[in-house]
Amino acid sequence: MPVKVTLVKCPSCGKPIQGTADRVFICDCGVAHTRDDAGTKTLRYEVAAPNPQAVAQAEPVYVPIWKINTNVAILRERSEGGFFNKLFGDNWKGGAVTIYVPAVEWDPQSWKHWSQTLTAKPPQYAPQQGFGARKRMAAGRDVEQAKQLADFIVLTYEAEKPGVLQDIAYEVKVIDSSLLYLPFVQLPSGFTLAL
Amino acid sequence: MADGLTFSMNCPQCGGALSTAEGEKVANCQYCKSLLYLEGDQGVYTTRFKNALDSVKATEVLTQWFGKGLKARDLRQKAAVTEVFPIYVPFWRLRARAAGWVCGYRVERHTDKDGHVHEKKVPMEVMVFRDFEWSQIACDPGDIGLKKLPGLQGEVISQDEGDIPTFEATTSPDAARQTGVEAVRGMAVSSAGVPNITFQKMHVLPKFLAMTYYPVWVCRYTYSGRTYFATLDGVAARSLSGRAPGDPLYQSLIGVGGAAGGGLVAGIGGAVLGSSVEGGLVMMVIGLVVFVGGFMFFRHGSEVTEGEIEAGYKKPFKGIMDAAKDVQRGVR
Repeated sequence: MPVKVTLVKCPSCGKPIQGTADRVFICDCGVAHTRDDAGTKTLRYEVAAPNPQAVAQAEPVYVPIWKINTNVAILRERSEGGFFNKLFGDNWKGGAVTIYVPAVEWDPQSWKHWSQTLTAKPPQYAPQQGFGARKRMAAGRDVEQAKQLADFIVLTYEAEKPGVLQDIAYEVKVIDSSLLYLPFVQLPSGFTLAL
Repeated sequence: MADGLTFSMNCPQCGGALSTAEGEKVANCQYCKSLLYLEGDQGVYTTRFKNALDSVKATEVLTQWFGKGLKARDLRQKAAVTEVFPIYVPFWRLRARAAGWVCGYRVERHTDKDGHVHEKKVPMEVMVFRDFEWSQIACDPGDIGLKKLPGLQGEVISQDEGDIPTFEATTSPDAARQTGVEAVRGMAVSSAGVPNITFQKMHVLPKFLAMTYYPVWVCRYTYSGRTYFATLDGVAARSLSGRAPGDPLYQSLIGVGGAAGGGLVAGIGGAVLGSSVEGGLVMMVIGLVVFVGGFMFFRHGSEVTEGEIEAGYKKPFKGIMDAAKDVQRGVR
């Protein structure tokens, strides 16, 4: 048999986990874990409470976002034309940054929009216990891929500053990571944060 | 593309039938709602396409192939098929998302009214953020002209078809994954279209690595005392590659036509050199390519090839086309 099928059980209480297909398994006992072919790993996660006014427009859905705490250092940068730094000011050389990496398989444009929007303006939220009866979207990217995407987001910030980037040397050191479920409502115009 | 491939299996909890898309790590049983983790052998998913041909149908496809292209006109009548048999050929497949930036510049040249050539560097920065798919044969195929997976349309089966032999993979999953990741990185950087690169960083995030067994029919036949071969797609029932005798009439016509046409175009190119250096040079290069192509087909066209087989008359083209591109770049 080329593919081995294993029943997913909680590593903490041993109970089989039910739900929809997801890379992050959350047991009724509250413990979340991920797994790969090497084994299981428990996971820190938070669920943000939705804003009641936003929820009045439409039923929210929880979107998993990797929160990657990093130290970024821009060591060298050369670009042609343009002198303005859109996001961090003219002479941003790095520092502690929390990078928000959507773990869902959104289309590239939406993915980029929300990763940049949340990283530039971190969401203010009140944590809550569990999801209640509300749905959550499946996480399609693991934390290792999220770390690489965090690096890509930093590079994208630098490349999208005014001017045409020609060379850059930078470091993104990951301090720690966790998963944050943010409530979004889906309107005809697309997803909107329900905080 | 690969989105259509699905696996069928049974839930270990309730025994219910379930199916999931290739590359998915987790499935959900629709009957007992259990979550199931799908573990590939060393992270590799294996798929096998169902063979749709038998020896009679394969011979029919081969006979149709005899009548196509620049093969000997009497091949269909005179060829004697000596062997027709199927094999499963393994291919590695990797699907991955590339995320990165390629920076650099392109050079724009223009000639002013006094004939002076001016160069201008135009800076470029290009983001790449999309999925790529790579495939490569996973065994030593010899000289049968197969390098990439022929197709992804067809019925997928989970069990071996006992009577069809299978080529064993000769490359490891780790080596394939590494080669695939580097190939995707190369495709992604190349897709950015930056001619002169000053900086690049491209993350490659694999979604899955799969081993796909594809049925290929190998056919051998003789013509005028010489042995030739062809391979057929066992799923789509079409030719994949092969060698076949050429036709002296086509050789002569293409040889003479290439010399005449190439000479004419090159001559016109020489005549217009005075009024347009760029146009004249391009026409001379095109004329040369046509001339050399015609000659090489005349020289080596006694055997024609199809698929990913290096033919004698095709070899010089790569060098000529590269040289032509250099000339074009030079005059722009």
